[in-house]
Amino acid sequence: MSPDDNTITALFTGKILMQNLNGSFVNGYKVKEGVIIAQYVKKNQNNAITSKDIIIDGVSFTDYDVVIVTNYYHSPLTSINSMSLFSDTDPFGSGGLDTGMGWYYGGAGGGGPVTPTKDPCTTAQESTIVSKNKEYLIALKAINEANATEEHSITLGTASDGTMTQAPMNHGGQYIVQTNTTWEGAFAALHNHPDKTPLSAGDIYASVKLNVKSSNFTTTYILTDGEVYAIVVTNLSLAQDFVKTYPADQLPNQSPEFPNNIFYEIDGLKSIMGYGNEGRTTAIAFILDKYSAGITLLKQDNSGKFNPIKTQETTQSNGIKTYNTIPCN
Amino acid sequence: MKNTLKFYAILFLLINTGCKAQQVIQTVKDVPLLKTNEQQFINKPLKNLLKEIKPAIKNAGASNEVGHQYFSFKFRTLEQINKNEGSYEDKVSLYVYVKEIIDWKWEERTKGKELEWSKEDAEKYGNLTVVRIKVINQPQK
Repeated sequence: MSPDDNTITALFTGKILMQNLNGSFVNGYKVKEGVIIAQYVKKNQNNAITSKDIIIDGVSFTDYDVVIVTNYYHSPLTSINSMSLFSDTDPFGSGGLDTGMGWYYGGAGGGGPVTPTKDPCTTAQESTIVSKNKEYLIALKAINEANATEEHSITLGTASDGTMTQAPMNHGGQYIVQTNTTWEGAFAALHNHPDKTPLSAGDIYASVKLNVKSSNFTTTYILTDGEVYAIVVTNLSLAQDFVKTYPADQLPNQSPEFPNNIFYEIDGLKSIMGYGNEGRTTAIAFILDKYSAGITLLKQDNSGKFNPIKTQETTQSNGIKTYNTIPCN
Repeated sequence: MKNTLKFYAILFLLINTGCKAQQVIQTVKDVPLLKTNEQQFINKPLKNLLKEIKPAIKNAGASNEVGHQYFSFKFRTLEQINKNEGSYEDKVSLYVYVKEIIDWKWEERTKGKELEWSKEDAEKYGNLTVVRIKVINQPQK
């Protein structure tokens, strides 16, 4: 269990490598602030750690084919528990402790408190339920039938009797519309993108602001090019950290963008994932997960079901990275 | 007649010299100069900027975002990007924002060659108006 040299957080950050007494590789994890962010997986049986070690991210392995499986769910379910440490099984989706792992993990036990991140699949199910409600469908239709050259927004709320309500539609310009934040029980808002553009950096930053203002206001639905995407803040604490660490790059009177480093990474992924709306959104979702932004992006499929846009990055032995969708069970 | 010939000879020489004036971007190391000299290209056609770039554009895409339209030009192949290979300078990306919506759709590009920047692309988009330039590279380790 080797911490990163520059770690100053209460929760463990570093690598955990497990060997048998004869030096054979058993399992390995990369951990960031108590959450597994990658697992080192052996691909064959030639697993003795020898002088022919290869180095991955500063970690030595033997020259078998090592695959780095990246975990972008970052949910508490993926925190390490004592049973999974010495298991060859995929830890992602398996049970775990509900708290992060502290520096003294394995000793007296216990780590610092971790705000739970809502499970992306549960989040998607909840959005699917909302999207079948009559009020949502009326709001969707109203926006789709409004002036297609402008943005329009309708806020959804919950009345005191638990029924869904909708605020009157706000009309905006080509690139911006005001969200009604004072509607009673506001929990979500829908808006359209007239130029068929994907969800934007501005939508991401605005979603966090909405949730800061109202703890139930977690979801933003974006209607574009006949499709519906959703931005859901699944961990406000992480989301606030993200926007603080990576504030929007915004010139006066212009739409916000991600700051240069995030922008560059997303753009690099677009080359691989595609420049269509889905590829671009997938690239954004991947980077949000990479930086533990506490935000889940969803896409509605043809059957009306919302699915989380979650991608697993795998680095092959030849260095090529492949990206596969992580489905909900 | 003799004077006329002399005049044309000198004119030809001047034009020829002008055409062969050194481009601003000789190697990828020079790409940041486009940002330094941004004002020279603002409100001018994209082709003015492109003609100043000597290194081959190996990867190009276009994005119409909410309130922004820009081309991404890279000097590495897709495989190099995927493997994060190349020198530090090679990893630079050039983003050229234009005033107009870009008529560039991923789904309509030739399959397998979506990111190739062709002569036809240079012609098709050459007259779009440059409004902003960004040059970004990875943090240097």
